[in-house]
Amino acid sequence: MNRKVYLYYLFILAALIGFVSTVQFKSNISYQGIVTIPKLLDLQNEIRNVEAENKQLNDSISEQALKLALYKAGVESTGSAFGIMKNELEKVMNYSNYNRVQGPGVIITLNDSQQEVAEGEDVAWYLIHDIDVLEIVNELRMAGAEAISINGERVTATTSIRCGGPTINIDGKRHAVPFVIKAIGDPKSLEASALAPESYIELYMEYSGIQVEIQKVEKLTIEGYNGRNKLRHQRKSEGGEAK
Amino acid sequence: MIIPIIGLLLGIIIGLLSPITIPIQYSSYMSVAILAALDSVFGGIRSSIEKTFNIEIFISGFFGNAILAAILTYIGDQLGVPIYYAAIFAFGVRLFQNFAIIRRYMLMDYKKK
Repeated sequence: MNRKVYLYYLFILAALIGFVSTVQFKSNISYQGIVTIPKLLDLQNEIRNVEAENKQLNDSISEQALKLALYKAGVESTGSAFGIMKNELEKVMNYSNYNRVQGPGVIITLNDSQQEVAEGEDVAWYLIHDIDVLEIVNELRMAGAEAISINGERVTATTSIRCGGPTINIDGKRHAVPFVIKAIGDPKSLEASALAPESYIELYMEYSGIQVEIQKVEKLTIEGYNGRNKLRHQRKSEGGEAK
Repeated sequence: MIIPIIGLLLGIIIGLLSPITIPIQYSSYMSVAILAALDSVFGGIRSSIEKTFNIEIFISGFFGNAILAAILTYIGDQLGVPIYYAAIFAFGVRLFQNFAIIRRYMLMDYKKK
């Protein structure tokens, strides 16, 4: 009798094990591995990035919706969307550096060093090169410069800055010292980026005594790009990038 | 021996037919509990061969070990320390040990015949 009773127990327990492990197998759970702290932080970062991207996309949705509403309002009131499109063109011209623009910013004036060249030193250390100008432009952009010009030459996305012997060629046009770099943006952060420790100016130019003058300006004007349209090869591409 | 196997098959069939799945956050508790139960089963087989099988000890061990293992896993999750390694280690070692003893008994039986 006793033996029979525990056989029932065994039957129930075996059924339980079978049930539970089948459910577990069926749930198809992949092994997650050990989550270490660096991995956790990485994942957190990833989530944050995705969230930021999400927010940006949402913002752009509302922006587009606003634009659409504007178009609709324009069509309703004047019968065409021409006025609004004109405004938009103006904006695009601003983005593509074709317009003369105005705003607060900094003016950086660079001049060759007045120091005497010590013995055994290269005179080239005391002159301004294309790379110096390039680095400064890059640092200004990093600090949020919205429009930059060098000696009146507007710097666009396709501008080249190249060595031309004693001069520098900017978009193929020769420019000599002094170089006046104008940048529109937050004057404080632009100035800070130029003067910051470890900035290019601090690292490479102070030693050789190259004259750098940084001036914060409340209102400065930068001419638009006046060269020809250089986009001759690229076309709009539909879909993703070709593999 | 046939009755537990029938029970096992029945359990598997019910598990396959039922729509229940385990949420991923509980899966580690479940797997440790299954390991504990398996450990109890091997212990039970061994004791039945040794003729010291006791149904009360078996059942209390079956559920007690499973619940303790799940609780350990939970505490470990809360503390950020993988305490369930301790359960896996203990049960795993015992499982293999029990299996080794069962194997020896079976081989001895086989040789006697």
